[in-house]
Amino acid sequence: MAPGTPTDSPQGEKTKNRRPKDTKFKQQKLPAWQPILTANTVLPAFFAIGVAFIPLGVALLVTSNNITEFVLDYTNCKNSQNPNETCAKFFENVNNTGLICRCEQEVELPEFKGQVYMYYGLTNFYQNHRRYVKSRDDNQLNGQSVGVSSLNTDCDPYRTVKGNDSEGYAPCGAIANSLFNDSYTMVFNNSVPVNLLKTGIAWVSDKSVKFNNPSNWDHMHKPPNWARPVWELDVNATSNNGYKNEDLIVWMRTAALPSFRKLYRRIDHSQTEFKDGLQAGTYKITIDYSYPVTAFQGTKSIILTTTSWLGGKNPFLGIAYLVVGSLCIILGVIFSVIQLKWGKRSVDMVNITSRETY
Amino acid sequence: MVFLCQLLPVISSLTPLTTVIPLVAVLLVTAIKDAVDDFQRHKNDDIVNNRLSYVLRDGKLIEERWHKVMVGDIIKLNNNDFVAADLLLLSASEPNSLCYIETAELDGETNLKVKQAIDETAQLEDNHDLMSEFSAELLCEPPNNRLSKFEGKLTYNRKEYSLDNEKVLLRGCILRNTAWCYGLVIFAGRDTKLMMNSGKTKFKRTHIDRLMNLLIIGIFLFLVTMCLICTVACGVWESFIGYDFQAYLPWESFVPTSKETGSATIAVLVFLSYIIILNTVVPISLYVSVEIIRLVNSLWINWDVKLYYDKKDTPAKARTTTLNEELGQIEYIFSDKTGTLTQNIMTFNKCSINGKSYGDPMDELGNMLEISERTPKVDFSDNSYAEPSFEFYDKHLLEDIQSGVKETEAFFRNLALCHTVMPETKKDGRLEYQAQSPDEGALVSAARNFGFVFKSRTPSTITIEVNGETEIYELLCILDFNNVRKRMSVIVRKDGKITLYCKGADSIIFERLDPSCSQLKELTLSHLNEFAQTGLRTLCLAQKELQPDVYDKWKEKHQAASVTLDNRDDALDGVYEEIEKNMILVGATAIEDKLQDGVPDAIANLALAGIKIWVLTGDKQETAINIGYSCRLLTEEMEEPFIISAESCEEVQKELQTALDEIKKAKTSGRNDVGVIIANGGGGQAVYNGTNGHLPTQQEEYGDFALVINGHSLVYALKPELEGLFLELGCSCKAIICCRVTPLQKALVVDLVKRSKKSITLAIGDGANDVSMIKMAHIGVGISGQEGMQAVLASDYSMAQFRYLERLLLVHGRWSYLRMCKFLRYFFYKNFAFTLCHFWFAFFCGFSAQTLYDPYFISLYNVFYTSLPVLVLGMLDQDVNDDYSIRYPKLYTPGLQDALFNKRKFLWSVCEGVISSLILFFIPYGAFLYTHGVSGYDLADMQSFGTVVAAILVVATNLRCALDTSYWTGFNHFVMWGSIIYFFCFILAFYSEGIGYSYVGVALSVFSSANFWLCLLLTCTLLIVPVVAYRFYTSNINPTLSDKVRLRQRIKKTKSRSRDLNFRRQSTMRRSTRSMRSGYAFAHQEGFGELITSGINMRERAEDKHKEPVTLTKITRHDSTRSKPPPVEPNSNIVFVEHL
Repeated sequence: MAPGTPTDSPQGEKTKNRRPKDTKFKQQKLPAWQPILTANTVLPAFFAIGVAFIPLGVALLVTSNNITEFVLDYTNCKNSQNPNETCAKFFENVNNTGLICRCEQEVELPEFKGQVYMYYGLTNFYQNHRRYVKSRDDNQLNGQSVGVSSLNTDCDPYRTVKGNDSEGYAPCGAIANSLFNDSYTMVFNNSVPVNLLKTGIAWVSDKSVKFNNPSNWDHMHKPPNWARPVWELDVNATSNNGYKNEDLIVWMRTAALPSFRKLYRRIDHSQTEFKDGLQAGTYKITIDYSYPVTAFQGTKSIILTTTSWLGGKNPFLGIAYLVVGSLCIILGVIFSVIQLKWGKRSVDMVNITSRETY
Repeated sequence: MVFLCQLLPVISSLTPLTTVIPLVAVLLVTAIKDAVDDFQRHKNDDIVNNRLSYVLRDGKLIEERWHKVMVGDIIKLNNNDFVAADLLLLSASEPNSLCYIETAELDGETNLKVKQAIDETAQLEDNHDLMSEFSAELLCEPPNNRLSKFEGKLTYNRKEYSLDNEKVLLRGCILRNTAWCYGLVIFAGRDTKLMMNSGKTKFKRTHIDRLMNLLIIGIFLFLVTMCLICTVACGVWESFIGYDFQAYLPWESFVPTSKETGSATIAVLVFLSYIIILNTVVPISLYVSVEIIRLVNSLWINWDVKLYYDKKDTPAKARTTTLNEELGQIEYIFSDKTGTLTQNIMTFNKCSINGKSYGDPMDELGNMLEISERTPKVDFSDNSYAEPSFEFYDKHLLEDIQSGVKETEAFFRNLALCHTVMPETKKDGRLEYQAQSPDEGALVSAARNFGFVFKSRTPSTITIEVNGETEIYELLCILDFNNVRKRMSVIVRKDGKITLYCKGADSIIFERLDPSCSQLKELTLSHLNEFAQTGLRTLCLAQKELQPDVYDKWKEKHQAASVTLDNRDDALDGVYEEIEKNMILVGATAIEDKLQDGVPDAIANLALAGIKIWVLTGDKQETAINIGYSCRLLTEEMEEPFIISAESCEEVQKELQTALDEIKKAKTSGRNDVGVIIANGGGGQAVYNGTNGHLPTQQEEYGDFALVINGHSLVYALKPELEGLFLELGCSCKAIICCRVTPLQKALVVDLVKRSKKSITLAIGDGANDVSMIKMAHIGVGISGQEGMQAVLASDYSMAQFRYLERLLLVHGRWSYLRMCKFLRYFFYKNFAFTLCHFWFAFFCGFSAQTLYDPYFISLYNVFYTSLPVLVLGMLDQDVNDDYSIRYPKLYTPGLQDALFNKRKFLWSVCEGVISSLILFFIPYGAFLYTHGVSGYDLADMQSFGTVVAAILVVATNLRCALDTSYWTGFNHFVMWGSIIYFFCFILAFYSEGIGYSYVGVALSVFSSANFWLCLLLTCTLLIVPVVAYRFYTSNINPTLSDKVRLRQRIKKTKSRSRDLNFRRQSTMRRSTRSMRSGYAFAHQEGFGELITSGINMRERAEDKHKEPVTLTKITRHDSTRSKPPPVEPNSNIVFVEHL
């Protein structure tokens, strides 16, 4: 036998054919779109983005500017009983905790067209702090668990009444305990009180799904900071009472940022005077100030605003669109110049040999 | 650890579930993959371990699996069996207890080697009775890795016999041309010399794996830094704001009430909380995704039809699924020669007889034809001895023989007579030859096919059959081959006419020709040049008629010389010299050491890709150099290779230094005289269709130098003092051939380069002798479909042919590397963009470790929302298709330079991620600050804001992945758009009233606000446009080769869809201006002639009768426990075999 003559390999005995299947998938030959960034596609795209974004930005800016918004910071408003003292100072006295400091502000308002909303705004208020966010019991708020023992321990120290573990707070937790409790009234021209609607301010899904009253309030107490128990929040309307109270629901939806606004009331436009919004003129706003914020350098404000299809007044998006749009146009121009001056024609580019270096 | 932290409620910012989900998914996938891998490996190991061999146990031959063969067993081997363990040859079927073995697995040499049993044990023959009673004491060296040495002592029948390598069969050899033999197991299993040579199996990890581990440490430090920043900031915040904010948010009860200590306590706890939140920068799914991508890329290799070898029904196989991307970074290839580069087949290809050259096929007009499948072969069917496998294309030669041209007959008679081949008639009457060297076998078999059949020999006669007539020659003398003589002759007498036939290296023969044939010499020389140019091994044939009196006189001298005691060999050489002169030139032969198909092309292309190829072979220097030329590792354009063959440390150093100096001199004295600059023939295609297509690159960083180093010099070159010098020299040469190296040296060379060069190495081989280097190299490739499995079993990838390496590296390796790099860059980007949003949010939530996103989003982000597109990208992406990858080998460069994923690229990805997270957080921040919905409802609450950022994140990162995808198949479209759509659908469903999750209603509220959509559009544009701009700039103004090829590919595709892009490769034959190279490249051992004339290996046919099986008695080893006996002396192993 001549050496090296191929002998039957062990595989040869098998009749099985081990040839891989010649499918497009297995051979990595699947039909594919292979996009290439060429001047013909990239430059028009830049200009297109620019052309689309600039008008959009203008539209957004106009929309935002068309919204009428009035902001009144009343953190340091004067106590109406004692004009020498601000309400902030009033609450620095520990004895006054739980009392109300009334302050009155006369404001000139422009004309508001359409539905007007009243918000309260807080700054430097950390509703998004981890311990704050978790200090609630969704099951309790949903009316599912009524027992004190089943309350979420995250609610501590506002879970059970101090020294008595069988008595709990309703609702438990720091969020509920810190419920914003200033209240506002508004009078137009010193004669016409503006009707404020308490309902329709919370998310529909929150009100219908997340918040439900329990079957009973046994062994439940009002949170320490509260003036009334939860089942007396709105004694006039059962649908707005207990956990279903919309002020509570709005507050319980914790804000993402330390400066935030929360919907307080809707202006009742069924009044003939305010059918098309708010008339321009002098309004007296009476604030029952009972929520101290200056201890942690917070501020409070009251906001009246209309809405657009975009929501509230915020020029940010409009400006951002204008900037991005302009940048795209500029990029388009720069690249066109570069392309014309230094760009390589594809014919030159593809003239390559196998020796071409990388 | 992070997971445990999460179980502590105080610091946990997430529910434990968020980590459990991805963790379980990841562990599950890993477990499945590892199990499959392990199973496959075991299956393969079992193939070898379960090979059967016949062991004499209890006096009977029983089949036993290899791994159960034990020291002291007596094994029977049949023809063509693998030797299962290191054996002491006891007896063999051939006369004088000779047996032939092939050691290709061990040292790559293909010639058969003769082993002979000790006379006393040979008497056992195949008598199982006697064999069972065999009892002897064997004292031998401890297990070691020296293949060529064995020392031992056998005490048998109270006589001592010294044992040497000639009596030992090593594991991995194959018994050839021997009906049976018996051997006593000396070493088994791991102790065998083969296994001692195979090196340790190391767990291989890729370069990127190691880099990744480093990066992860870096990321962890970064993570700790971020957490520290948050901790400090938290302390400050708590003492300035948090302390005063206690009216609404009291500190926890265990926190000290004092301002400073209280803040500090909270801050310390927050550190751990932030570790939990931010640990998503190092996602658990990273490793598993990498593994999945590698697995799939391995499957592509397994499934590739172009890596499938039809003839042996062998597909390529990725045996390790964790090394793929390293295939795209190979800088050094270490290749075995025999069986890897060559087919191990010698063919008689051309010849020159009496000044006429034969072998090139001609058409009717006398034009040369290229040899292809269709070229008509010469028809040998008239000759009953012709072998069907023999191919010859020039019909003129046969015509000349048939018309009885005298010189032609003399030529073939010379071939049929002057050799040391042994004939063997098989049972079916076929005549087969056993040749010590494949060259000789090819020549004798060529003569046979042309009708000059060598039929049989006895110590004193040679029988040949010429055209049906038997001629018996009296063999007077064999003037054997040795390395100095480089020729062999026989002197025969027929019909009273004494003739000397001689064949040898051309230079040697030409010196000894009669002046009368000087004209013929010129002609033959030019033919030899031609042959050598095409990479053929050439030999010259000459003959001379001797007058009886001259012969008689010479015979006397020969007799005298052969009995000389001192310098017998020199004396004999001198006597031979006297008679081998004034010979008449008959012709020249050209033998092709058949390379595997496509080897020169593959080597040329790999070299062009910037890969350096070292050939490590057990073969002789001449053979190795010759193959180097024929596979175009060495080219004529190169300088003459430096040959290092000194045998002492100082000399080796001197030779290395001289070579190095010469290279330096050449480099400094200007590059002009180094190599010829070859202009390229025009455009891209020209490279592949002309003869100039495969010239080596000239303008590489180094001149074209080649180094040939011998095994015995390598011993010194690899010593610590010289290895630096050797490495420097090796790396300044384009081609390195190490010949006569042992398996362990192969590994040492690989190790040297691997250690010192920080480059990725690949070793490819087919035999057991390559196992050590296959294991040592970063990537080991085994040639499969051969008889031996050892190399394949040790390898990471196996394939049937060397040429597939080109595709494995340039296509699969490149793609794998590209995909892995793209994947990693994107993956880090994606997770930084994702996680850093938490960090920015920290500035707005009092550093309280509040998460921005829904905890469920955090656990699903990596696994469900963003993993599939990038996984599919990692599986399917390709920048240019396979044809172009091979056509433009320089596309391999980024892998070599490690350019696509390194620390810089990683930092770049991280920066992109950080910037993206800034945009992702602050655009929604700006857009949602103080805003509310259309009907006045809250929109800037925690849940809505988190959902906005999350949704934009998912869309933006997926779009970014889309931007990275350069090969959009249906799968890509499906997963890309599918992921985005799935996210929206899932969120809508999950946040719906039916589920009752605390995020209820958020999705609907967010997705129905115009603010969100505008924000999404703006953020995505802002994230995508700069990347597009940058990529457009680089690809248009400063395009890489990849960009260009991609463009070209596209233009080609649109221009002519029907045009075939596959270029027909040139055949291995080529013409260049190569100076003459001749190799009397007999892989030959001297002394074979002596065996023939002394007659000890002459078979006596009468002996062939088979003995009746006899009843056998029991054989066990000396000790009853059947465990290995303890060594009596520290450095020796004693085996007792005795009959109980």
